[in-house]
Amino acid sequence: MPPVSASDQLFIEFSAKKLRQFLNRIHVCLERLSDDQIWMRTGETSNSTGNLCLHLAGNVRQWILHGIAGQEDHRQRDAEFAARGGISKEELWQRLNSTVQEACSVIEQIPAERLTSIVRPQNYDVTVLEAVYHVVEHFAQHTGQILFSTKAATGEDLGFYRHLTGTVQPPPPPAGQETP
Amino acid sequence: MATVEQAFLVFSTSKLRMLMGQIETCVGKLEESQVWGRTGDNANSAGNLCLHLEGNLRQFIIHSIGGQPDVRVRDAEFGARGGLTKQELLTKLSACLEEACAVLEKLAPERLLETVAPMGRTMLTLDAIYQVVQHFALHTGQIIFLTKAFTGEDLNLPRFATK
Repeated sequence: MPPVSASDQLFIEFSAKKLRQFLNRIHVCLERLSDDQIWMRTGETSNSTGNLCLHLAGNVRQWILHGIAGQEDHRQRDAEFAARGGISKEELWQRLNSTVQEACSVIEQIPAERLTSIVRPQNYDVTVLEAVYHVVEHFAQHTGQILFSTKAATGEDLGFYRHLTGTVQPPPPPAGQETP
Repeated sequence: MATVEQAFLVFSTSKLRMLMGQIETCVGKLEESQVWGRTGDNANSAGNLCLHLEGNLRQFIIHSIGGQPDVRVRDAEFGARGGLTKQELLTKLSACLEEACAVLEKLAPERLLETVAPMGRTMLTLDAIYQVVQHFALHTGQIIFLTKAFTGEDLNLPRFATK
């Protein structure tokens, strides 16, 4: 039998694993985009991959490194969306990668009993579990947008799910109609 | 105070419902033709993504955890090029989501540590639920991306609906 705290540990491990997986996918996207494509937008209300990388780094830093680990909060959220260039993709990657790696270390070291305690990032009163879950869900949303933005810019299939195509069998036919 | 297991399940259903609300807002703003519009041959339309999210929810939650038959035809989710109105897509997805949330709301917390095998992949129930929520979020982000691209609107969607 697993120990009583197994759900705590599973939640923590899955959270850090998913953040690193999304980070790797963003890295694949950045590798395929030129410095110009990183700042391309589909319209005035849309965000570029560059904006989204800055936004994700800002969110992860504020919610995990500030909210949970207690570091100073120096987020300038509006600047994440206002940037229109001037940062190379190497620099964007460095910022995002170092922030997420640090956040994953913080998440992996959360003691189980802290998951239900209250923290206050960005003026939301949330439990540590909710803060971590929210960050992972938020990271997923914007990773999805970076994947789309990259597909739109390059026209390439990124191939993350190619192994699943055609491998799922249709449901079995009704009884008596099975093919031999 | 809620246990970690209870808190995880409550947050999972509230996130799914929040994301569903975002999809309803977005798809509601699209023209019927835009619902099936794609940015390229390798990209999915909002219609494909709605079908895909429904298939994933039904297979991972309603089948694997809830014990209903596995009726998923995954390739058809991506192969569709029309045939459903936006209201039909939203109604189907929303009904499926509520069915999935009902499974989660009835789930005994200790079952989070049991194994399930959606798509033949063995995993713990907690991981399966977390997988579904982040997968739902990823594709909701893409529906938002498409909606902004088609309408040019600043959507101002609610972000943290539980508070």
